[in-house]
Amino acid sequence: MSEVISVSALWPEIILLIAGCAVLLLGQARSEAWRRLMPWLTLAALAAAICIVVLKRHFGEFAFEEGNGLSYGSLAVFVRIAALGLGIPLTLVNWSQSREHERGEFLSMMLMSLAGLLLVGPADNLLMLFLALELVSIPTYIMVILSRTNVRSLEAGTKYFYLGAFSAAIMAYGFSFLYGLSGTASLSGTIEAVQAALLEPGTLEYGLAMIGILLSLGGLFFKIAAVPLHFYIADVYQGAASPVAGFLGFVPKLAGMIAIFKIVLLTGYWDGGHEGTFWLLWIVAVASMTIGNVLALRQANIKRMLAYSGIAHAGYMLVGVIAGPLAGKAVDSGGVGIMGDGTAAVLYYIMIYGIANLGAFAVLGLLRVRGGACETRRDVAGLIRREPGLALLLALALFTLMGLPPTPGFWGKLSLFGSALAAAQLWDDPRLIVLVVIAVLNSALAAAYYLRVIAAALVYENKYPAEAAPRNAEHIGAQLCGFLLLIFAFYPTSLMVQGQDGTQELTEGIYSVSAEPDADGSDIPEKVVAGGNSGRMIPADMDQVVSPLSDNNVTDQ
Amino acid sequence: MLLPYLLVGALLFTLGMIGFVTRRNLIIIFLCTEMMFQGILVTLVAFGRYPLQGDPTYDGQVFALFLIAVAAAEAALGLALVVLLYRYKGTLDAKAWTFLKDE
Repeated sequence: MSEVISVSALWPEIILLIAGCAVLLLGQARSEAWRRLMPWLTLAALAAAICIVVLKRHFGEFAFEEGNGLSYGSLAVFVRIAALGLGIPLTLVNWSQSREHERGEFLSMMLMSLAGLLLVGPADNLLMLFLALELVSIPTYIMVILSRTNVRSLEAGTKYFYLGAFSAAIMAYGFSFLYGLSGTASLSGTIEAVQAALLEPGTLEYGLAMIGILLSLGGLFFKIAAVPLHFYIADVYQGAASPVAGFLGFVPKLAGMIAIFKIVLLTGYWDGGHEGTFWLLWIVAVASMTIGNVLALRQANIKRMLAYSGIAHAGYMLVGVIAGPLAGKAVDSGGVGIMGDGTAAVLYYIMIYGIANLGAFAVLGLLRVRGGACETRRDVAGLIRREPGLALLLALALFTLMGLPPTPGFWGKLSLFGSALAAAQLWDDPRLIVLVVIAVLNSALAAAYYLRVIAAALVYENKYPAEAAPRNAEHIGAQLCGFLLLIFAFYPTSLMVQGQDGTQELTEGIYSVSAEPDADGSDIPEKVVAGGNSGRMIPADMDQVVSPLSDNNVTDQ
Repeated sequence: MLLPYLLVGALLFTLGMIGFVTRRNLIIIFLCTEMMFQGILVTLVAFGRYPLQGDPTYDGQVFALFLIAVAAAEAALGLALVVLLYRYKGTLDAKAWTFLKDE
C-alpha cells in the first residue's frame, strides 16, 4: 500500500475543497451581489463533482485506484453518488441559512463536511478513516453554531462540539489498539491480525483486539447517534436551525455507518460470527430502538421528536449490520437479493431516512409561527388549510419514516428485517428472530408519535396556522425531497441496486480472507465461530432449505 | 517494555475521561479531552516503537502527528467557542447552559 494515488482519482474531493475555500473567502466580499453568488457557487461545485463521477463511471475509467491509504472500491462509488446527489437538496434547503454575511462560512463548512464524507468511502487506513471522519464532524459543529443567531444554537453547538471531541478521542484510542495489534495502520493489513487475535481468547492480543473494537465502535455510535452516546442529539436538533438538523441526520450518519462497516469487517463477524461483536451490536440495536422510541413518544416538540426517532432509526440500521452482507447465502446461493444483503439494505435505508428526514426538517424550516420558528405539534396544526403542499409533503416524509407500505421507508424496513430473518436461517440463530420481533414492535410503537404530528397537520384546526416563508430555493429543495421519495416509492429497485453494488467490496473482503470456497463453489465453507464457545456452525445442508423469502424478493419485482 | 507505556497511556486517557464527566468549567473540560488525546499519543508511539509483531514501523508516529494536528484544530474551535460563551453569560460553568431540555 505504498504506491501513490493519482490526482485524477481525487477530482471530486479536490473540487469540493477548492470550492469550499473559494466560498469561504468570497463570502466575505464587500458587495452584496458577490455574496449572493455563494450558494450558486456551492451548487456549481456539487454539480461539477457529480459530472466527473458519472462520466468516469460511464467511460469505465473507474478503475480501482488505490494508494496513500485510499482505495476506491464499490463502497466509495456509492458514497460519492449518495453524498453528491443529496448534496444538491441539502444546499437548496440551506440556501439562505445563517446571517447574510456569514453565509459564505456556513456553505464552505458544508462543502468541507461533504468532502470528508467522500473520503470516508475509500479510506483504507485507520489514519485516513479517522481524518475523514473528523473532516465530516468538525465543520458540522461550526454549522450548528452559525445556523441561528440566538443563544440556543450556541448551546447546541457547544454540546455537540464537546461530546464530538470526546467521542473522537474514544474512537482514536480504539484505532490505536487496532494499529498496535498489527503494526500497520492499513485496514487490509489489520484485518488478518485482528481476526487471528480474536480466535485466541485469554491472550494479550485478544484483549487488545476486543478493547480496540469496542472503543472504535463506541466512538462511531456517536456519529450515528446510537445508544450509549445518543443523549446529545435532541438538544442539538432543537438548537440548530431545522435545515441543519436535516443535514445532521444524513451526512454524519452515512459516514459513521460506512466506518462501522469497515470496523465490523475487521472482526470477521459477517464471515464466521464473532460472539463479542454480535452481542455488542445486538444490545446497542435493541437499546437504540427502544430508548429512542420511548423518548420520542413523550415529545410535543417535533424537532426533538425527530431527533429521538433518529436514535431508533440508527437501531433499525444496526439490524442490517448484524445480518451482514452474506445473510442470504443460505436462501439463494446465486445472486443474493436485497433480502439477503443486510448491508445493502442499510445503505438503502440510510438514503431514504436522509431524504425523508431532510424533507420533514425542510418543511419545518420554511414555516413561521408569529415570527418565530415552527417547532411544536400545535404550531403545525391546521397546516393543510394554509399550505396544502407543505402539509402533504410533511405527511409523506413522516409516513416514510414510519414505514407505511407504499412509501420507500416500508421497502427499507422490509429489506432490513428480511435480511435479518435470512441471517437467522443461515446461522440457525433464534436471537436474530427475537431482534426482528423487537424491531417490528418498535416500528409499530413509532407510528403513534408520527401519526400525532400527521393528524395535527392534516386534521386539526388552528386559528393562526403557520405561514411559509417566501423562499424559492428552500421550496424547491423541499419539493425535490418529496419527489425523490415518490420515485423511490414506486421504483425502489433503482436505489437498492445501487446499494447492492456498493456492498460488493464487503463480500469480496470476506472472501479474500476467509477459507477458500469449496471446489464446486456452491457450498458455504464451514467455519467455526471465532471466540466464545457457543460454536455457531453453518449447517452443511443449508442449501436444501427452501425459504419463503426467496419467493418475494424485492429486487425481482 | 511495551506494557508500562500502555499503562501510562491508559492512565492519561482514563483521567481525562473522568475529568470530562466530573468537571464543570468548560475550559477544564476541554483540557480533559486534550489529556485523553495525549494518552492516545503515548499509546500510538509506544506501539510504533515496540510492535507486537514484526519490525518497528513509522505508522504510529505518523498517526500521532496527525492526531496532534486534529487536536489543534479542535482546540482552535473550542477556544473560540469559550470566548463566545463567556461573552453571552460571563461565566463558563457548564450548569449555566440549560436552555435546551425535555419539557
